[in-house]
Amino acid sequence: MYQDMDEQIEVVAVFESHKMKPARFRWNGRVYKISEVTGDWNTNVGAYKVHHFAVVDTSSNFFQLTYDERQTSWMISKIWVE
Amino acid sequence: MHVDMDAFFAAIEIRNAPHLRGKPVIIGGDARFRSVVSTCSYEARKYSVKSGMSIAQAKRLCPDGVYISGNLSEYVYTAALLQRIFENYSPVVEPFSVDEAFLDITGCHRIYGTAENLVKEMKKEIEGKLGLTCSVGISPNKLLAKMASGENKPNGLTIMDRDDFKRIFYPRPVNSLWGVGESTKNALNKIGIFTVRDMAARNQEELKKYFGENGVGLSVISRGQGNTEVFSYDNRPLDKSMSHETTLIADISEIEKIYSTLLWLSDKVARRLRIDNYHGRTISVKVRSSDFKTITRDKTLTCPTDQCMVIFETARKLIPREYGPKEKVRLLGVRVSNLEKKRGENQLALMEDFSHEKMIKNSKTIDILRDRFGESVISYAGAKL
Repeated sequence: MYQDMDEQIEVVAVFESHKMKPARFRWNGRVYKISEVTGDWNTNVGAYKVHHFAVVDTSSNFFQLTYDERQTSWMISKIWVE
Repeated sequence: MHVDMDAFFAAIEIRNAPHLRGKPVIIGGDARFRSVVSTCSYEARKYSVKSGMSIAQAKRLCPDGVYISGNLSEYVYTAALLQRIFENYSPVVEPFSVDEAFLDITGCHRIYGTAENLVKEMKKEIEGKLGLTCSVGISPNKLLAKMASGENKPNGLTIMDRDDFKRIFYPRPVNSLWGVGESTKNALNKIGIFTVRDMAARNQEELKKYFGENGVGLSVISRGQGNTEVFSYDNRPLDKSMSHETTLIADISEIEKIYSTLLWLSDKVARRLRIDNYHGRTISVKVRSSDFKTITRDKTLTCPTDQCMVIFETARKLIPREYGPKEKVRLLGVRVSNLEKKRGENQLALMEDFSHEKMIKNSKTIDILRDRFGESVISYAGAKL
C-alpha cells in the first residue's frame, strides 16, 4: 500500500523532449537512482502547477515525487510499503 | 465508434507500480470513511468485486486484494491526454465520461484503409504514450457502439451492425441493454418481457402505456436504433444541471453539521457554475438518512443564481425538519438545475438589492483568489473543511 509522505528531497532532473524527468534523488542521506518514470501528471494549484512523477528506483522501490513550481521544491509524496 | 478504457483507474495505478500487474487491484476510498469501489482490475472482478460496492464488502470478497485510495487528479489529467489522442483520429470527439468517448469516424477510416487499421493505430498510440489499453465498438449508432465496446474486454474491438445486434443481444435478458437497470428489468419481467427479443416484439404504444416516455426509449433501444449524432466539446448541448454530494464520514444528527456540509456543497456547486458561466433557477437538496431512505426537495427561484449564499439559504430551508434531531443523515447533496448561460452581469431582484450586489463582489474576490492560489485558499466560515 502507499504511505503518504511529505518530506523534502534533493533531486537531479533531466530535461528532454520538452519534459522534465527526475533522474536521482537524495532522501535521508541516501541516493536513489531512478530506473523508470512510470507515470507523470500535473495538478493546478491556482495559477501554479505541481508536477507529479511515479518512479521506480534501481532496487524496485516505488515512489511518487512532486515538484511544486511555486515553492521550487521537490518532495516525496508517497512511498510503496508492503 | 465508442472507446472504453479498460479498468481505467486500476490500469493507471498498475502502470505506475508495475509490480501490481496480475494482482487484484481495487481503487476506492478508505473503508473507515464508508467509501465505495470506483473500479478494479480484471483479477479483482474474478472475486465478484464490482464498481459501486462498499470497500468493506469488497474486502470480505477479496481480502488479499491491493486497495488503493486513488488519485482523481491523475485520472483527469490522463483523460485530457487521451482526448488529444482521440482528436488525431476524428475531428468530432464526444467525451462521455472520464474513461469513455464517442468518435465520429465517418470518412476518417479511409485515411487508414479500414476502420480496423484506424483502431489498431489508435490503440498503439494510447499504449505507447500512456501505457493503457482500451476496448472499442464500431456501429451505425452510439447505442450499438457503446454495447459493442463491452463485448470483447479487455483490449478488444467489436464491429456490430443491427443484424449482429439481433443475433447477439436478442436472446439476452433485458438488463443487458445499456440503460436498463435492475428496477426496469423487474418491471419488464412483471409484464412478461424477459429477453431483448421479447421487448422488441412489443409495440411502442404498449411500452409507452406502462413506462410513459421511457417506454418509447425502451422500444427504440430494443431494436438497436438510437442517436447517431456525436457532439464535440464545442458543440455539446448545454449542461442541464450541476450538483455535488457527499457521503458523510459518520451519520450526523447535529443540525449545525448538516448546515455546514450544505454550505460547503453549495460553495462547490456555485464555484463550478461561475467557472462555466452558468446560472440556474432550481435548487434541489438530496438527503439520505441512516436507514437509506432518500428524499429530494427543490425550489425554483424567480431569478437565476450562481451565488453560494443564495443556493445555501434555499437548500437549508428545503431540508425537512425531522432530519438531524430525529433522523440521522448519511448523505447530503445540492443540485442547481434549469441552467442558462449567463449574459453580462447577474440580474438583480426587482428591488435594488445592495446586499446581493455585495455578495456578487465577494464571490468575484473569492474566484480571483482561488484562480491564483488554489481552491483551498479561502472558504466560507462555517463550511465543512
